[in-house]
Amino acid sequence: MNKKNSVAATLAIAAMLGFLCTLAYLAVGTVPATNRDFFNMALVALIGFVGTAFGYYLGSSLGSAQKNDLIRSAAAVPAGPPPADQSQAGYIRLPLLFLLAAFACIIALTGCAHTSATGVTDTPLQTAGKSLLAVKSTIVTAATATDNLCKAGKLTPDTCAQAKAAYEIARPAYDMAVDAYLLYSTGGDAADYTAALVRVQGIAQNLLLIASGGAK
Amino acid sequence: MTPAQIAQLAIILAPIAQSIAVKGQEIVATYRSDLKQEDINRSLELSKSANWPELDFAQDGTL
Repeated sequence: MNKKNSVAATLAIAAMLGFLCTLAYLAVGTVPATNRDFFNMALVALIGFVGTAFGYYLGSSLGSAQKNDLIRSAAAVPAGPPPADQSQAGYIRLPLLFLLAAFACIIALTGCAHTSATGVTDTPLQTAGKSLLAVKSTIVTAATATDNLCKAGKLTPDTCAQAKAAYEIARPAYDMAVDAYLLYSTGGDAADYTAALVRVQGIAQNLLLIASGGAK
Repeated sequence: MTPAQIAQLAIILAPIAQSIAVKGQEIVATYRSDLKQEDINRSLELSKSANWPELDFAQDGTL
């Protein structure tokens, strides 16, 4: 196994172990209600990791990588480093794994900040408003990062088009969630706000999944 | 990866990592701040999508 593949294998094993540990935790424990939103977002990010790893090892990427290794070893290779082989999934997906890991860190930080803010006594309404602001930050940061990767040529045109569509859908969905929250804060229906929040959170998670699955 | 590819990757990822770190700090600060309901409502009004960046997701560069 070459160095590139060993990096991919290590990340894949780490993602799988994290996923299995999460499942084990869910089997014996319960997620606190205040952390449920953050836990859902973190779980989706983790599923993105595992999906990427499965896509590499069970899709065509591993076979392609092995074929390239075979061709490289059979051919007379001149002295010097071999040319970069960007068709190997282990190579090009690293920035995307990095991006997902960074967003997982944000989500974990958000959860920690939420649970450790002992000096602040928020009402459920205030906590809901802060959650909505965090969702907006996640969407804008994820979209900006994806836009940068598109401009750098690291994502396929289809992925960039999907990300653009998700971003365009997220904008009115977020505005609707804000309006529902403002109505809720003045005595409106909590169910309307919850439905709007779930929808916009789903769009944010889709944006991350689109980016994680669209490497060239 | 060659040193040139590592450098190219670092140039792409560094600003992304920086913006993610800044946003993460903002989120933590928001949760830990003792905002009044009026402040939250005002922040949400200002956070509406009219103030979001215009992104075209165009592919200007190459691998």
